[in-house]
Amino acid sequence: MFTVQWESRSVTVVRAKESGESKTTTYWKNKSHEKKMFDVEPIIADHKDVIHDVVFDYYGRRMATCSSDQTVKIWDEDAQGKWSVTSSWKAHSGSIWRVSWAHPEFGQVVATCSFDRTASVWEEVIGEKVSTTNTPTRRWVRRTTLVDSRTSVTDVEFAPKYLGLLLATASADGIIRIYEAPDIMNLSQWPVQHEIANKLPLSCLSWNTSTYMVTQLLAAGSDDSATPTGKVFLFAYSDNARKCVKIDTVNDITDPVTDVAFAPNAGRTFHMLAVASKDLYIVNLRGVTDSTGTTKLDIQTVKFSDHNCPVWRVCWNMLATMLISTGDDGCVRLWRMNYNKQWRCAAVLKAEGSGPTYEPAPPTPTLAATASATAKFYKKGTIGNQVPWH
Amino acid sequence: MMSGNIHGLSWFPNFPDKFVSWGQEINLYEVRSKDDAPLKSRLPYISVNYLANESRYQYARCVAASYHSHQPIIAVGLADGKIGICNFRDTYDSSWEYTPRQQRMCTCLAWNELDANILAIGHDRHRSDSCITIWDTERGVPKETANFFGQAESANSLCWDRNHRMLIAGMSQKMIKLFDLRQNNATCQSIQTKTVQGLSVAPNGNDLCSYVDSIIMLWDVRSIKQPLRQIQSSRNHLQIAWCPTRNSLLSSLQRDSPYITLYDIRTVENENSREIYHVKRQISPFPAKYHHSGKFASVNCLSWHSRDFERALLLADAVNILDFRLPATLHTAHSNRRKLPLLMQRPLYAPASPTSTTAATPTQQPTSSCSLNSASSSNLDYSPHSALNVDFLVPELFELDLVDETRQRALEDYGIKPDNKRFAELHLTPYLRNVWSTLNNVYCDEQLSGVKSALGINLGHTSEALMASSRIESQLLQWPDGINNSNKLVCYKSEQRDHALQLCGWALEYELERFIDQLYDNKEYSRAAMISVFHLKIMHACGILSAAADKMRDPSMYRITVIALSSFNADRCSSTSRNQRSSANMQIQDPHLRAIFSFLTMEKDNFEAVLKEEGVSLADRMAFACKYLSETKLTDYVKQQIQAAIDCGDLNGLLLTGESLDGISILQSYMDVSFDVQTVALVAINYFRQEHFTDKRIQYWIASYLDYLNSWGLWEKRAELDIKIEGIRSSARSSRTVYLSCNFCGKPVSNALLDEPRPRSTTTSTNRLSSCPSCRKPLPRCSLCLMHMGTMINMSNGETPSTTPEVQGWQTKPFSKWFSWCQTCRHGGHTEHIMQWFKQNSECPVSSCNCRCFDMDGSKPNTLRDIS
Repeated sequence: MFTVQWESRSVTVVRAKESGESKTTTYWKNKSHEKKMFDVEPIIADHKDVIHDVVFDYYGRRMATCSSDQTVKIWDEDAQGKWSVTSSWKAHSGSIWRVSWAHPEFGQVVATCSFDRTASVWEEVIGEKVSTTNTPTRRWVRRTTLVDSRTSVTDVEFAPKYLGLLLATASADGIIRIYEAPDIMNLSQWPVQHEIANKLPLSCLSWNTSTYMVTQLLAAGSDDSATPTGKVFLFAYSDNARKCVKIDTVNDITDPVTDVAFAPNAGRTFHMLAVASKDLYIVNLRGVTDSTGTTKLDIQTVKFSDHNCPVWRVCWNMLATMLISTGDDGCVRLWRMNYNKQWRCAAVLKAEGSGPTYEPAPPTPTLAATASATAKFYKKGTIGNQVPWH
Repeated sequence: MMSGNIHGLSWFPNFPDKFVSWGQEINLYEVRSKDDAPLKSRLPYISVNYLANESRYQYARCVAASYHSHQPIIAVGLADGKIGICNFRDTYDSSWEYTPRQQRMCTCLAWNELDANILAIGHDRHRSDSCITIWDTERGVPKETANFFGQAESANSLCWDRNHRMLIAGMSQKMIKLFDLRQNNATCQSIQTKTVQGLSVAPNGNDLCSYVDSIIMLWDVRSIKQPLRQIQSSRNHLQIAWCPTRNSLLSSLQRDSPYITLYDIRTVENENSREIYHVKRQISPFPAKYHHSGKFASVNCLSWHSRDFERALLLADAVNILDFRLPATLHTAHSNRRKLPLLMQRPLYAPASPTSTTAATPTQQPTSSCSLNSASSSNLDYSPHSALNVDFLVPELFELDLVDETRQRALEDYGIKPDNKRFAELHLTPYLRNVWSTLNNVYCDEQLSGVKSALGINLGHTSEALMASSRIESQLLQWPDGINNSNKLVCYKSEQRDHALQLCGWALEYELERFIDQLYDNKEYSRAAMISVFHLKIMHACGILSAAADKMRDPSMYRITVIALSSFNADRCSSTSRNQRSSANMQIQDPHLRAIFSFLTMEKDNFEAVLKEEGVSLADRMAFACKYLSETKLTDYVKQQIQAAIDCGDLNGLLLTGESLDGISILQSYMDVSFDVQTVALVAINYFRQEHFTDKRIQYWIASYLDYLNSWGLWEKRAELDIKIEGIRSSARSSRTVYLSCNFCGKPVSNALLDEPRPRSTTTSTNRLSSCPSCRKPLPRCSLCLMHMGTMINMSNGETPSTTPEVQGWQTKPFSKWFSWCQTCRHGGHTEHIMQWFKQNSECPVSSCNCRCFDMDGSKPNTLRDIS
């Protein structure tokens, strides 16, 4: 077992460290000396309210967070690898659900979306003033506000670079809008290119980055809990209709969906889509060409119930060899593929308070000492026996 | 004394470590701090001290803990309407008991927060009697009419306004009434609603929630006419409560449910409108594995701690009490680093010691106070409670990470120069190392031809025609002495087959001994023996193995093989014992030795056992096939092996296919299996250099890999690959993107610069280069050293040029001596000078130019290294 500890006050780097002498520890002793499994780096977000999204830029050197406190924060990594907030501003008048980075080729640009029915595009500009410290003053300027939605805008994401400067938004009234900046030097013009209406409210969307099979492939999920129908939809550009159309629905997933994420695809023939719902799902999409020559999607859904609570967010690492899912109970689960090409939950990360880790049977003292349990059982009957004056 | 079920529990709002539970009897407990006496193993979970109990009131209908701060006081309402006040000390005090005139059930109790002595009591309806009583416990039992409200009605729920002396009551299942008690004759305001099961005012003092069945209604106490929002859920609510340490977090328990439902209530305030929305979240306090075992089926009661952040007591299954904190949510996102960043809204807790809990005052901004608090204590105390826990369920899955490997290999110049020595230095798996050396072997004359094309399979003419054209010699081999094998062994030979053998890494007959010796030196003993046997040099194989046996730690297998080989009689072990052989073969660990025996005992012309021996490399099997298979069988075998390689994504199959569409299919299926875009892209760059290089798939892999290098900031590595790729695309050379032309005459300057390396005296060339070759006007100057472009700055620095003037042309100048300029303001100079300037300045060196050339790039200054 690894425990991880704080090193400093604000931004804390955590090192894997051995703890205790329990049985589980000895099992780890040999390996932990050879190689660290991975580093975990806790960062205190310093938002005044619930954080809804955190996204890294293309280089992994900048981070954007957004929160219900209506602010967006931009973090930069310094030379020592510590993260600090370099910009923070009130971006909306409601909870900010999501934030997305544009490809750096288009400049330092983020998009945000909020319950206040708008999505905004922000660009970092260099200030006119020369500050005393000789570092350039940078600030984020709102380039545009997209006000087309009549309800909360639940997700926003820039399209992969090969499509140009495109932005997709999903809203609670079920409409996906795809905006395009025709002139990348002028970020104030974002005409709507496509508008796809759905019957169900949408909660999330994800672009597929690959050019394999279908172009402009987009997945969206719905958090509607009233209907027992499929909750994940796939959209793609149709050459015949000259617009984006719904091409398929993942019918296996009928629970409300809170997040979808396409695995980055560097050239696999199939796409993987992670879906956060009541359980975690991984959907494999393959293009199948039938006898008439039309390409259809072959959809295979695998369900993982390890979380035992609704899954909240999913994300992939850059080569799609690891999937990270966050549950409502605060546990972060890391998934890897085993030799058999089956996804397995390989590690669980818990913050203090994230669910008790007890055995109902009398536990060993070591367990009580090492477990990060914060919930305790007080057995009433046995207390009574101890009271002397009864 | 055994207590039965617990019906409810509650913290004392002004005693951070005391709580009361009620059921059959009422007990007072104190939470022990962690430093107390060690936990007794008999009572493992108890970190609570039993303090007192109150046995007078059994089966209390409702209990309320008061806001008194000097001692813990509770009010108890009984089914017969009697109200008792208890401080767990003075056991019998009749003045602390109130009995209504008519016997009826007490339904609800509420202590006032501002004036701790004021208790509001709700009763059921009885004729025209009033149902609400206000009792000032200091002044004795209520008698005045001013203390009674709600005649001929029943009270369903009660709560006090936080800011004023105002009582909010849900009455008669149909309305909420607000009694303003600031005046003597209380005014009353009422609204019609069915949501009167429970009432609670939010910590912000303005929001009021009320519920009935499955509906929660939110109101603003200041203007209660219209509800703010209605929240409908699927199940009926059992209890709702606001979390006192959060602004607007509403918790709800549902009957027979293991979950706590949390509603995060938020507002959007525009200029003139206020809109309320909520975020719902369900969490279970029980370990996930008990959900289905039925051990803990439900949460019955919840009491939030008034000061500790998001801490609550829970009553599980009417028996167990849990101390619970809302899990800290961790946020994470993928970045291209190895580190997994975890974003937390607040620091994790230090252990709840009494000092820290009292220091943390109930705040409007819990975040700030908690962060200070826990930061200070975490410096002192590294208990596991302030930590994150990582639980490795399947640790071996973390041992290899492709992202790390890919990055590591990229740093080691993987695939830039493919030669066998380099592969040994790289962090490659044996499989990949083997693949690369095989490919390196097959690659000759700038192309990867592959065994299939070397054998001329499917090259437009049938194999029969080929057979005729290419003079295949078939030769009947004699088994050497000592081997009694009546099977006839036919060996095929042709130019193509010899070539194919070489591709597979085998040597021709005349070099065979040297080849086998080489293998022996490489410690591939069993492989050397196998190849010897395949060439029917069985005695030689025996020699190899017996020599090898001396060097082995466990030589038994080799020795046995030697004995078996030296007196091998294939005829004797025919038919019946062949079954024996197959089972014996199962027990031979070394695949090469297995192949030896399979070969020696094969039935007539049936080489299946050797050809399908997975442990032997595809190259060796292929070479064997080239030697002993007839043309049609060989063709089938090659096709079958190619198909197998495509099916399982085996890069060794490239040996057979070479650069072809099948080869791309093999790469593709390897990609699908391994996700290793790096290897795929590099194989394509190094070996697929002919017509297939422009295949869409190959181009996509290369683009993806270059994209990864970019995102890691490995610009140099990417540039090296780019140069290599550019060399392949020689036909479609990309046009030059930068032209150097004179400002005055517009004629290109660069041609003159190209001419420069011609041997001539340095002084004249220096002069010539500082001016336009056609109009003789001066070239632009470096904005810092004011020297003209083309001037040798190393000369001006007084450094002696280390190289001879002949090679000191523009091509050999280091990048720092080059000219570069800002794309925005068009000012520039020698890169070296510009870099020095921008280390200290942010504006352009040209006076009166305010361009911040260096900040134009999005990346941060500290990531830009000195590129000179």
